[in-house]
Amino acid sequence: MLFVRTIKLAFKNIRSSKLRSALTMLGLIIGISSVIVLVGIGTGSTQNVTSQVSSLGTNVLTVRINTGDKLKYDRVGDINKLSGVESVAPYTSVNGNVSSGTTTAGMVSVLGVDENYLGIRSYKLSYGRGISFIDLDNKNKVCVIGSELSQTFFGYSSPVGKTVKIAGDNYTVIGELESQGSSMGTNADNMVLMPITTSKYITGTDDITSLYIKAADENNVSLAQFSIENYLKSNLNAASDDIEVSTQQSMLDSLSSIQNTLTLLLGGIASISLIVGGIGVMNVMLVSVTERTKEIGIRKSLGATKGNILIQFLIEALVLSLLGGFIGIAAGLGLGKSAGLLGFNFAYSFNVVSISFGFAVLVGLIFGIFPAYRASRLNPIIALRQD
Amino acid sequence: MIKMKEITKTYQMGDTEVKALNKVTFNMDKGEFVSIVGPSGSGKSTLMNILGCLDVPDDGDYFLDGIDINNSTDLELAHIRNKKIGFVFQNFNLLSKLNAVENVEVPLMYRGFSAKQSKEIAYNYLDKVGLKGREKHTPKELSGGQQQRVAIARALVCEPQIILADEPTGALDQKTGLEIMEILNELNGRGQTIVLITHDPKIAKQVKRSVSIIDGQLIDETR
Repeated sequence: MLFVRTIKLAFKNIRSSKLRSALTMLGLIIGISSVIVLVGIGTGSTQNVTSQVSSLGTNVLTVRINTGDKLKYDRVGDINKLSGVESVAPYTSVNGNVSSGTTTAGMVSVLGVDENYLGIRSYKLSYGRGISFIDLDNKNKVCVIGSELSQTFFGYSSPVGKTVKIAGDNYTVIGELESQGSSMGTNADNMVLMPITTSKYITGTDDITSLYIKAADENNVSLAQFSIENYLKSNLNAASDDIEVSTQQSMLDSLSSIQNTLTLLLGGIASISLIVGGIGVMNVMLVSVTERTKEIGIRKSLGATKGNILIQFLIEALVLSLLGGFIGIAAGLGLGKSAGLLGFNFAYSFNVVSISFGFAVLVGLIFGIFPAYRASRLNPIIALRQD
Repeated sequence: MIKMKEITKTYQMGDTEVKALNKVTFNMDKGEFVSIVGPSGSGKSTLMNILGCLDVPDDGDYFLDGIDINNSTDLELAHIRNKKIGFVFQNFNLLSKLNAVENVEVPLMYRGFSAKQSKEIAYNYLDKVGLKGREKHTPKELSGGQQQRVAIARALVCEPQIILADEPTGALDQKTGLEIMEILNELNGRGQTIVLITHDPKIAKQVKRSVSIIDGQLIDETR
């Protein structure tokens, strides 16, 4: 009963000094909303990257051969037969200028691939067809181009049948990739794919430095990993450092750990503003105790115990922080939504909202206790003498 | 009702010790109306604080209604102030943000009464001190005399054993002061024990029994 009345009293006191209460809450509002927005954007971009990576399929392995003997294309058939391996897509890569008519695009990655590449990368075509084994066998001068490149050269119409010039040679466009967006450093929209047997003329070598491998069993990716590592070590005369085999899962793990650290960092920075907000609450409560010394004296003379006074001031601090917390959450979610409309990836979780709210309550409690304790310890005689 | 024996209270004022009360012995029966008169600095405020259990003496015994005040804890003293003592102050000491009825309710609130109960009791006491119709007025909207009536209602609301009135007419004009004295006399007539503390001998004379306090020593003129 006394409790309910004390809460009502707290609201009365907060209402009676609106501006001061609003300014006090502002610190908490900024703190809580920035925690929600920053952590939300952090989580959102993590989810975005994670979904991009996992769109490759968790059963895809990436192999990079750094030194040692290089892998020749004719060896790929052997790898395909390894246990646990479903399919293999080797590729070579070189950056260069690509032009069509008078238009030139610089720094385009030109990839030599075989017929499995599109399947393993889950790339889809918006026009034409992909590289076929016939193209490989005949070393056809054909290519599949990314959507951005296609748009640069040919506008929105189909590029199939047109030609592009790469390193002085003309290549017939046989297909266009659907727009993929850029993910993790490779921009599939600004890319040229050609038969790996043809690209040898551009790169000057048919050494394969990278492979995508699709494991037969999604739950047993390590079998494929084991057999490819073994094969490369024994056939290429390479040390284990020279061969990097990474699963999508391990990339996903390291990526998300980086993102989590970033999110924590952002959240940590935002939490500092929450603590500053809490100090604001303490400051105002201390001023309030000093201002209301007389009131405390009167209440004590009427029979208020130390506990009554302590609880009264503590509840006032708590009500302030709770109000600030509610408004902060609303502001944070609102800001996050607008950030989402501006193109940020914003994801809020119930956890972040409840943790920051709990934090606000904690701040109110911790920073409210000291002023409330001071109020409760006031000597009633001295307090009554105050004006 | 009140048994004080050789109460001593000393304050440290800078380097010098001030004996605010020097072996004060004072007894009072239930239903008495006693005035304690003394000039400022005589120790009457200290005596009032000790009587009202806001302060404890350094030495001596004080029994209020049979309770040994010197050996009571802070918490017990708070409960005694709530249940057994009603204060009426010179400057009324009402809570400015609360209206009349809310002010009167405060002691009941600390006593754990429900909102409904305490509101009913508070209305009743405001009616008794002649403030019917002004229950929702805040102290600012009331005259000095009306504020003191609210304070009296607040002192009475817990049905205390004793009312301690510290210069209750000090901030009022003569006519209003007389009205307040009339209320106190009427309460005493109904059996209420009252201690009135004042510096004004004229007011002290309106009371049956009057004791003087000078330099921390009590002179009982009636016994």
